[in-house]
Amino acid sequence: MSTAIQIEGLTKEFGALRAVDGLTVEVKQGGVIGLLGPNGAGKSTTIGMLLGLIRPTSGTATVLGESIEHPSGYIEHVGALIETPAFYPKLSGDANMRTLATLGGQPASRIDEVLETVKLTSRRADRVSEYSLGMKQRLGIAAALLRDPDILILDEPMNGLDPAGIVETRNLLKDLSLHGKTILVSSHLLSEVQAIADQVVIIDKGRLLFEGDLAALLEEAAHEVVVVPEKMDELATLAEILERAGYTLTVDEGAIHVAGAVDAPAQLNRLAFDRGITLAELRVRDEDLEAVFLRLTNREMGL
Amino acid sequence: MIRSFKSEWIRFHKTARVGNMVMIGFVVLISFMLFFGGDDMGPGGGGHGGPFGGAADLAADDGAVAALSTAANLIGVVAIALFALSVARDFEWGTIRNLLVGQPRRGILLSGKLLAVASYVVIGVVASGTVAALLAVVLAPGQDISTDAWTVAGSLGTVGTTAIATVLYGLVGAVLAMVTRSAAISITAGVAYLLLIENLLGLIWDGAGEWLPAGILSALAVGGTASVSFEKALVLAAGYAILGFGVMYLTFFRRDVTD
Repeated sequence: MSTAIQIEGLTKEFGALRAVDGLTVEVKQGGVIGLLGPNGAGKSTTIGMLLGLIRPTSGTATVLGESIEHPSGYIEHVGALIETPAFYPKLSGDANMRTLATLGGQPASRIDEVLETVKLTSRRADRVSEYSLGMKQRLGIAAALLRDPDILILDEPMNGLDPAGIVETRNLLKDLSLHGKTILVSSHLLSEVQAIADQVVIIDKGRLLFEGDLAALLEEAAHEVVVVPEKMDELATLAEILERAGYTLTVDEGAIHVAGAVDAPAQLNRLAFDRGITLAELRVRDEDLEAVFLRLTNREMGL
Repeated sequence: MIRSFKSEWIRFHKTARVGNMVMIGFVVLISFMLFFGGDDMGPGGGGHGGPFGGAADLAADDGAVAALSTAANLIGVVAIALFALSVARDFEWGTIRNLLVGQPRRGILLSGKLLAVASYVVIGVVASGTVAALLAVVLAPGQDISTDAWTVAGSLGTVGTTAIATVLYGLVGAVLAMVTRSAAISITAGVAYLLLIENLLGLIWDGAGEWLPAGILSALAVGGTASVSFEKALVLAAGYAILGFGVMYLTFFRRDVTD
């Protein structure tokens, strides 16, 4: 599989702020790649550099083998939605698309196709100022598809979409990836891309935290067994028994959380039974990917 | 560049149409002031023109479009606004990102945009000149204005020089918009400089009207004045234009698009 995007030591400084810090990433052609990180992680700056909008301070990158110093060498194969979709508010969706299609040299028939794809045909004559955020987002995706690009770069494409819109967009991206497109989707929410991404790249403070298959990221997830005695006054006794047996655990909110014991529920059950303790609950719980993501980005849940 | 030009035409036609209507409105207003102005106020004398001109202007070979050249500064203000809106709005709205993904060669993109706006401005000037001429033909007989010297060539020449001057006025707006990335700031700064600041500078420096942009463009619009010949105005205006293009393109090439 050949390389779609190769980033090596890419750095961007805005004055004293280092938005992207020596980022090195390789994106293979085909499939959906999630570019993940909290707000301010450097995702949009990285995308801006890939599209020739922002000059790197140092480092190099290529898109389809062409240096990002010369975006005209590859940009006709790239479609992009960058941050909040931006359009001329007093022009209709159709007129906005015509400005972009004219600039890019695409035929008018292509506008019909992409508006149909994002289900905006019936509202194409309306002013963009009358569009909801979700509609603007869909128009942005339509604009990105105008060229029928080989690489689609979408910056937070689910923003503002209602649940149905999110599902539709996911299905659209899946469909496009099945047709051989390489789709780079940035998001600050792992859940938005985990259903469709094959690879994930996680960055924070401009630095790479994780790069690899989604399956590999799942392996990073912590596992535990949650044990709850039937009688809550036996909680401390049971915790002591399990600790003596060599398990690492925490007691939290009426439950014992035994770390890394996914293969040992039967043994835990036996230890409790031997002491006459009946369990009300015994289950294996995987850390969800959102928690992995937050742990990798050094953020605590809820912050 | 043709794609960029056509794209800007689609995008800007509504704004340009309003701008051109305002230009025509100014010319209509000035026409009535020229023909019905107070008897004693005209610097050209002769009982017409009020503060904007006189019978001598109306009776010249380009008298049919005297309102156009007289309104050049006001039309120039409209041009400043149009160019500034074309350039700055893309940064304010973030649409510049779409445009640069569509055409990453920044020089080509900007040239196409400027040419499109310039074409709208020229259309506005020609339309204004046409309206001025039609009004002059209708109003002149009733006001005892001699039309004997009027020639088509004279009028076309004035329309041409006014169009050039107006586009150059607009260039001031485009440069300021590229530097500030704000339509409001660039229009305010441009209009304030051309209509106010340069006049104030003229109070402390006699040569201001002969060397600074507003004076030069005013002289260019009327085909030269007593203090600034047409040739001198053309050369100086070309110099300012080159300087303006340099600043604008350098700024566009060097700055990141993060908006």
